[in-house]
Amino acid sequence: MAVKKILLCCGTGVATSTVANRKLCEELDRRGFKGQYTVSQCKAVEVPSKSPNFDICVSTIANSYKCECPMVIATGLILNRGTQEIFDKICEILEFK
Amino acid sequence: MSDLFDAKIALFHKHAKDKEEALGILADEFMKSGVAKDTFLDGIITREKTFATGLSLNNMCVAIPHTDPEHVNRTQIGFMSLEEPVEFIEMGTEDKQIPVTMMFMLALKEAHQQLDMLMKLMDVFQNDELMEKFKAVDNFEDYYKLIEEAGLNLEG
Repeated sequence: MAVKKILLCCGTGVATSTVANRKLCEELDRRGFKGQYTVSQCKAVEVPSKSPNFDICVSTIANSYKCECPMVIATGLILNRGTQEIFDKICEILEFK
Repeated sequence: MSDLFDAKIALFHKHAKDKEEALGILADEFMKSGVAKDTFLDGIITREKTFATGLSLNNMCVAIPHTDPEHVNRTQIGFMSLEEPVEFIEMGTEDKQIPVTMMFMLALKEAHQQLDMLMKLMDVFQNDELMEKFKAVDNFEDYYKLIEEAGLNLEG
């Protein structure tokens, strides 16, 4: 199976996406998908140009930029709210079963 | 003292009429102390307008204003509590207003740095008892004791 490419974005690419990145990787690894995905962090303004090359965009902010791949708003990851639903949705889009 | 706090940027129970004024008061301390460049406030305001940093916690709302590393000289965390709340937009929404009573302003020099501190800070936000103490604190010495209690006194 091809390695899935995850684009993780926040406003500046320095703070909340870093936190979300750690939590996402921990959970995907826990679910047994280690090695089946890669994560790149970016700023929201880079989403239009970068998203065509990714399988999913996970955003910690409300992102009104044009996104060429499926997007999941994942602000809840920062404060541990509704995280299972967010992870489930991400796994569904990535076809991680 | 942890070098993330050594510029001693902490203001207590301040008054501000809106978020712009509140951000200005706190960002000014970053610029005066030299940890941030004089473009820092503009960067903070622009970021807040485009992508808000308000967070709604269990019993209160906080904000974590920050901006691009190009406006920052060295990594530092500043704090300000407000006597009366000011409206911020909640992160992850386009327009949901929330009443913020505390700001933890982040000057981050590089992307992907400070992960341990950021993870700890988000844990602190979920600790209601500790957050009440941050709200009540009124001097730097006691504030820094809370930072230590929270385990935020890491090296940058």
